[in-house]
Amino acid sequence: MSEQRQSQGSDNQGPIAEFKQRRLYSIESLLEEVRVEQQNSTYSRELVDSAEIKKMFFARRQAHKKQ
Amino acid sequence: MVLIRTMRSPETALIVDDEKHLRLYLRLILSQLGLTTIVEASNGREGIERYKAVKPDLVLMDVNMPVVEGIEALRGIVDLDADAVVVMVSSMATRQVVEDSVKQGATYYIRKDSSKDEIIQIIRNLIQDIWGIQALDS
Repeated sequence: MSEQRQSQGSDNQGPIAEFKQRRLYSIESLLEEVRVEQQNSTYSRELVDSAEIKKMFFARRQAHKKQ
Repeated sequence: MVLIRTMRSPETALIVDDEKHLRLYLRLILSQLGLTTIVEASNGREGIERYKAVKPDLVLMDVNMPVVEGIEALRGIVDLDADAVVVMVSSMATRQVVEDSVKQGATYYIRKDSSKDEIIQIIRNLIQDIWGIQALDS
């Protein structure tokens, strides 16, 4: 028991702790990537109706007129 | 883009779609609107070749096709002719694809699930905007 506690204590500072920290960071960054990817793909899969299509082309025409 | 080109009415059209029955459906719609010469292509690469050969007034372009996809073919046609009138026609109207079409110079985007009357009305409005003339009613 005391050995286990000792080992846990040394984990907080040594290379094992560093490894755990790095792994935690990489999992977090991976999850963040997944979240961003999910948002992007939801955005790209979003269907637009005829009214929205009209707006998008009208916006381009207005932008061209201003130029 | 300058929308008013000439006062003559559009006569020739190119339909680019890999599905034969859809080409036939669109051909009937264009005939109804008074276009007299209609050529077809079944993929994007063929579409670009036909465009070079025929220089049609109007192109109806599918998005998902084998060999060369619609957006790529649109880019190819606009590179050849910056004033090309290319209308994308697709069942997959996702925001990304419509945005890409806008960016690449498509004139408009029609959803394939629109009713026949709606498609006719959209093309008729485009003809009026671009050529300044009223398309046929039937």
